[in-house]
Amino acid sequence: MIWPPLLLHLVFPACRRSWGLWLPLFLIYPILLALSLLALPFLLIAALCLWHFGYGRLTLMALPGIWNVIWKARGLELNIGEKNREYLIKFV
Amino acid sequence: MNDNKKRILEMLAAGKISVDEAARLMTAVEGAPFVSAVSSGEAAARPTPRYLRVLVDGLNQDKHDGDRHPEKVNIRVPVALIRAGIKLTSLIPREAAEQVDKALAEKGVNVNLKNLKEEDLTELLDALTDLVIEVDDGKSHVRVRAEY
Repeated sequence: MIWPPLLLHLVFPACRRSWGLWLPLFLIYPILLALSLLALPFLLIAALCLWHFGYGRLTLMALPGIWNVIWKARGLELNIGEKNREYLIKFV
Repeated sequence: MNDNKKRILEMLAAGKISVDEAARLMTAVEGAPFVSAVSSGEAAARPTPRYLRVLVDGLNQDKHDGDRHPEKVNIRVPVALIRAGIKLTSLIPREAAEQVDKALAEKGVNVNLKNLKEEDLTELLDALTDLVIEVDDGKSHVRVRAEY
């Protein structure tokens, strides 16, 4: 089973040293899910209205597509180090 | 003895081929099924890469002191995320995709977003299981490899 990223680890330089921050993404998912469900009827109406302009499919499939990307972001890691500074974005 | 071996011996007896040629053909006939069995077994046992690692070592010029400092970029992208991204590109309207392609072409990246397919990624990953891509332009060194 594929699990979504549960934590986001951020490291950024500030005041001559690096700071680390752990963000609990698992707390945000229920809120995002509720917002997505609320937005669903509006998205359906928007998709119907935009169908003739060629943006209907995009509007309809954007939400599941974004969820799919979020779900599979676990393991994504960006680490940039230069001079005495280090930046890190890690989905755990 | 199989038919191929019999035919080779018959050709040798008839004087159509030399002893060396017969030996080479025999080796090929005996070796071929073994090699194909080994390679198919290796392909089945080979695990699917889970991540794509991109490492960049370069020198960055400081705006303040003008000195060049080493800069390292280390990116690990899950293969599943790339697949999801490719699926998402199919939703991009044609006009928007053309604009993105144009902007990328200006940066020297020639990619057609509408032509991106999941099979291309599978091919790339298969190739990356056996090799590491290394690019060195004198200023920076880029390595791309698959991870499990």
